[in-house]
Amino acid sequence: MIACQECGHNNPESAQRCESCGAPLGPALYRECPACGALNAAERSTCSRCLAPLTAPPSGADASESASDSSFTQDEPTAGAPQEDDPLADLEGLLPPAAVPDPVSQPSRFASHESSEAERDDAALLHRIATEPAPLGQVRREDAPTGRERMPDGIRWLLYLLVLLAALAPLITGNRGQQWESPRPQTLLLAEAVADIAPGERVLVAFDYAPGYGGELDPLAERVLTDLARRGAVLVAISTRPEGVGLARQVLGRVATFAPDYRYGANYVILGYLPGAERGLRLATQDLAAILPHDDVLQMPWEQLPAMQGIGTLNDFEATLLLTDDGNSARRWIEQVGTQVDTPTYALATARIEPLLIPYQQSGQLAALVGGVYGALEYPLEDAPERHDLHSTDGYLALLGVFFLAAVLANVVPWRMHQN
Amino acid sequence: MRRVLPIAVTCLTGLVVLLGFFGNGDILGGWPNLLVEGAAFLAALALLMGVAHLALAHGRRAVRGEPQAGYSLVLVIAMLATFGLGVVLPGSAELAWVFDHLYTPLQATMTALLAFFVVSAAYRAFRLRHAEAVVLLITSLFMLLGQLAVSERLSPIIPALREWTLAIPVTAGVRGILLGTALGTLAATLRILTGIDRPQALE
Amino acid sequence: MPLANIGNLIGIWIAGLLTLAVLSYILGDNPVYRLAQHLFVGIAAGYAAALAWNHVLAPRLTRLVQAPAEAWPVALFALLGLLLLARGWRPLAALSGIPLGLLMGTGAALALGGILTGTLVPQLAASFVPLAPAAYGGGVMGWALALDAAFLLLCTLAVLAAFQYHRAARGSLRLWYRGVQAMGRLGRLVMMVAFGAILAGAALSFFTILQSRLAFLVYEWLGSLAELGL
Repeated sequence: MIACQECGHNNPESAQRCESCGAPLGPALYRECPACGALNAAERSTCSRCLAPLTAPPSGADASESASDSSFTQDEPTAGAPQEDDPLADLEGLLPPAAVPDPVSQPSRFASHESSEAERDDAALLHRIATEPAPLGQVRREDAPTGRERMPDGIRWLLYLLVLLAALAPLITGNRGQQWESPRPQTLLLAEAVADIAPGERVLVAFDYAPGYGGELDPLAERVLTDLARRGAVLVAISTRPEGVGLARQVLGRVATFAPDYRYGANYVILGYLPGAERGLRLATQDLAAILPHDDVLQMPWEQLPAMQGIGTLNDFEATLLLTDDGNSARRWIEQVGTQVDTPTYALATARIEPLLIPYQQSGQLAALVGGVYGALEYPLEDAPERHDLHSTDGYLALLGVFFLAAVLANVVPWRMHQN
Repeated sequence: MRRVLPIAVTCLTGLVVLLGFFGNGDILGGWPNLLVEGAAFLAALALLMGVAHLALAHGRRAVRGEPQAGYSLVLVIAMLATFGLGVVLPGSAELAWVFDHLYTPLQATMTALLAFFVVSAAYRAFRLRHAEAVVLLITSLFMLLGQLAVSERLSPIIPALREWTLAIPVTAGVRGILLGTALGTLAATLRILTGIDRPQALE
Repeated sequence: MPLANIGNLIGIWIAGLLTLAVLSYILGDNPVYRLAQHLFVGIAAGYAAALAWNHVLAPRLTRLVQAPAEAWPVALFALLGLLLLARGWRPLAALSGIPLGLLMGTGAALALGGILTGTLVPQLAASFVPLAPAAYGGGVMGWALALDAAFLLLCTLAVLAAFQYHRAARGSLRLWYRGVQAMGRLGRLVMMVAFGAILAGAALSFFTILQSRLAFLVYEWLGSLAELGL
């Protein structure tokens, strides 16, 4: 029998993939970096892109130990240094494992509170939701039975069906739910800052999100960038991820069609991919051409483009617009760039990481912080580009209903049904 | 030699870069930036090496006709085709087509799947076994409600309370975690830079 | 129909089918999903590699060929890169420590500097806010804001206390430890509020993306049928 490294299920010797959760059973060929999503050779111990530690696959024999997320269970909840063997490790999770309430490896640590296995599973699950970046290679089943307790299948299917219906709700109702009557202060702050940008002023736009989150962030990005473009601002795109370059082309290409006579090279530029995480950002604040010699579209030295005259470092822009779906890359921008430039940084973040960035907004390091889910609906823009996927309030109402039902069911369904 | 060299290089480059970070940049001239540029170059090279390794491993699988060979073949062909297109025609409409019609929908739908799994995760987290689960349940339902336009109609208190929750307890929670992590990182990086710790990668 | 439109139409059809292939994972792992998954990993890796080549390696190597005297550092980087490649080869394995040390040293130094100046100091500074109502203009509002500030500070300290762990304390420090323990318990409740907000945010994010995928299927994918006159 081969025990699955992901869920502990025992599989026949001939199995290539786990029968229960679908995870590959053989020795892994490559591993996805938990921090930045880069693919790494299986034998690497640190990520080739960001140097974050790649957690060693737990030994297949000890299925019960490997049941929950290995990076989570190994950590010690002491003094916020969860992975002391590697310096860059705990950098990579804005929410360190220690933040999860139940001490995992030594349950008796807090005498007053002994956690059950199921509670630990829940904590691990939450931790994963809160800290894992979008899966690059594979989506693990978050609900794979990791402990003694699992969801009854009937309830799972019911909830899945309801989520699907909730997402389709706006199609059925025609999305009649009203928008916010009063936009949030942060959205207004951003809109005011955009209104203050004079024609010809240059704004740096960091496309630091995965295309996977485009469904949430694209509508907001499009509105804000269209507003800027119509005001005559010059938009300069950059990304610390390769895929951010493709996104920049996608989004700015659309924005250029909404603003009159908005041309590449004169009004907007896509600089490209900054390698080396902290290193690339650091160098860009010192000497932009040293780290990024060419632009992406024309593949020529960008100093020759009319839009880039007089630009030498990231400090030469009026403002930075940080589009992000990842707390770590956002934190890197704040730490490496925000501390080096005098101009304001505005963050447009996914709802998922918005809470993680709130302390930076409260401390003034982010001049404004707007979430993708509501920002696109609230951001005031006349004659805004039409989109089919503009976030639907009817759907959110239905989602709240599903969550409410889940909360009720979780506590009404008899305990016995949750045992394996 | 084998043990000392990496540590010496780590300490030395760390020191130079750190001096460049905190100093006014004149003492060391262009050295800190040069080292950082070199490291960024190596990071990009390491990314390429990782991808090459992935291609080799899957290529081997495909050639040997192991089970799953078909999938590996698809992976290798997709990788080589995208890489070739990206290198030969950078910034082209063809590369954009691959990005818009293959890359984006695939990744977006994989992320969309999490909408289902987050509900089942919530179901398990919502079992009211102790005070913490109660707090979690109330907060998350409230934050979902606070998102809705209709909540403002229900009561003007809801948006106000949502803003307060974000400004006080959420800020405190995340800030405490940030500070704890920062202290841990500080200690760990200092140990690396002083050579007390040998990172695994250098073994 | 112009060629670009045909390309776009084909693209929409493929994207629609791939979307359905990935969504099929809800029903369980299946060959169609796995095919889509492998296709994705291949494209993502190829794309990242192409960008790394175009933006980082190619321009530098070109410069090295064109002006070797000026671009000597690139030769050095390339040499270090070769050492990184030679990691598996015994005679040179020891020397591969140089590029790794360079990566480690720069990463650790920048992380240290960044976290100190960008997180630790500003966040600590933001934690120490005035607690006197007068600082907030006095009156009822001043008191309310001062209470908020005090509560924020208390909660932050409580979360930090939740990170601390100690064995059952004895002797004169017992009371102090009990206090820290009580704070830690409060801290964990505060963290649960933060987790609640994160869970809600995650649910909203993923749900929004699901909505946008379904909107794509309905409006663009099925919509393209109408364009074809079907």
